[in-house]
Amino acid sequence: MRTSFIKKEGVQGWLMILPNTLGLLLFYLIPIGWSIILSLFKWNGLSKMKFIGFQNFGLLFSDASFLYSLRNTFIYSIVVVPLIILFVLCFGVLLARDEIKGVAGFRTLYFLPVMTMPVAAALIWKWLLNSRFGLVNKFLGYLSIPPINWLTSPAYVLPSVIIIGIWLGVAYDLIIIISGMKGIPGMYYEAADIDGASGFRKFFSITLPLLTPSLFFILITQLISCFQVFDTVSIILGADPPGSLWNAACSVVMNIYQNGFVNFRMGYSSAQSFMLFCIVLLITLVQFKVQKKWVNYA
Amino acid sequence: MHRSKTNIAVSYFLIILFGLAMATPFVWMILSSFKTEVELMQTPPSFLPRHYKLTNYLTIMQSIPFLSFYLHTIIITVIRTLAQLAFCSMAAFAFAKMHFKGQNIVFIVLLTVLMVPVQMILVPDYIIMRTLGLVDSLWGVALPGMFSAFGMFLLRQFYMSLPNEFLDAGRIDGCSYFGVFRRLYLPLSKSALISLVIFTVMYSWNDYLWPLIISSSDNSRVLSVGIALLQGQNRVYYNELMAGATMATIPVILIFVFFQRYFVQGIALSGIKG
Repeated sequence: MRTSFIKKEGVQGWLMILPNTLGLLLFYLIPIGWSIILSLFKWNGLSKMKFIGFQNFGLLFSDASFLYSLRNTFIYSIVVVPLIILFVLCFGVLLARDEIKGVAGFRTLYFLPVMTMPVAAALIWKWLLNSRFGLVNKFLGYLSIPPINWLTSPAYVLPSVIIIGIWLGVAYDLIIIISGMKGIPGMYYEAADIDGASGFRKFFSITLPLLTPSLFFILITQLISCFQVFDTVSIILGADPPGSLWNAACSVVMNIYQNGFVNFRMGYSSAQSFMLFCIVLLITLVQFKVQKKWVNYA
Repeated sequence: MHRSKTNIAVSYFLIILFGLAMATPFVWMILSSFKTEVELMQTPPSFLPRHYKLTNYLTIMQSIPFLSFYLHTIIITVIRTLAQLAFCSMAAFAFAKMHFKGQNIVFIVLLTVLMVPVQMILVPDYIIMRTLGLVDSLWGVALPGMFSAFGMFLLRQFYMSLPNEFLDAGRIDGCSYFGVFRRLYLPLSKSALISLVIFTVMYSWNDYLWPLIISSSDNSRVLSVGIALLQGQNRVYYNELMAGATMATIPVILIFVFFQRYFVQGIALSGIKG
């Protein structure tokens, strides 16, 4: 007997994957290819596209604004990621212990940043870091530290963005670390107690090695998201910042946005985003290579 | 296991100290949203507002079309979440439990989306939306986010962990594959679906760069873009901005309160599965 066309497994399978596949194809896969092609053209989005070979990529290395953004993004990532990991480990050790009463309630305090929209978080911090009325400078004042122009001095604007990045990132990764710490079997600690191991010894010999898969995940995902930082930088810099501030804090994605959608240099913007993709891919590949040396999979 | 009392006391002290430090910006946002302009600028700063009046909230709703931004954000988030739930779960089931020609190649090709930074698709997607006439429309904002390689992968991993027996049993009873999926597997995947809902809602609610590009007027602006614009205006009143920020955060807090278990599980799950 012939099964009808619609009843075949192959037909039904294809029908079920069709919507998501078409959507991803149209809005993600084709655009990715298109973006790579666009990077070889000069185009303002309206006029005829002009093929210019690798000129856009050559331009990248003489474009001061892009080089500044690359430097800022590197500094941002290199400072934010290790500090997040450090904080997350400290907080995790405190919060993963269920024998402390009420710890679940306290965790909520630490998770608050996860619930804050990054744009809103940047605005909150802009108010906190306000040089005259901000809480941060008030607090520093009690420690007899003179007020700092967090948002208006080129030396401090990037650190401001870094503080926000850490605040937002710690909360999210803390959730991952706490569940990682709770996944470590209690018998390891009991055995260590019998041997009379100190708290520090237990942390460095049990907790840390067994957490390396979670730490690896945090490292990979945080590095990728740090290299794509945009929301907070754009709010901190605000509309039309002075050149010195822009150079001190703009990120690569800010440059991509600026070139693509403010200056309408869409080919050049595509070349920048392709560069970003290559950098992120390279860093991720290196991470996966290096992980064999330090990540323990039980 | 015995811990000394000082150890516990020190732990409590540190937990509260760091917890307050982490929570301060959030608490300060809410407190500032109730203060008057004068209270904001006084030295030394007042901690609690003198009156809890909704003046700032009312002002911000009148100074920009805040409520319509709010509505846009809700509509877009609902569209994206429902679409991802339907499309990702169907595709995930087909990839996990069915066998058909070309499925492996399609799956791997779709996963490449996960490796590419979203910035690469901005210019082409903008051109696509312009061609479709969807610039500055709610569909234009919502569309790319209605499809997800991440969601598909997350659910596929979940369906892989469910047994095949239901499929065989359902097939013998004359159910179509889609029927088996809808009646048997979909109800079983509730926890994974809730995780996906939480991720999609958070992503969609917080999304800033794409709406910034695709919206050119109040017809399609969402909250994130709306409150960002507010601070670009000449005089910035931080009490009003904080009222806006508070309102933008309330829905996510509600989700956290009601779905705390799934919320934490979902994020932890993403850490385990990668």
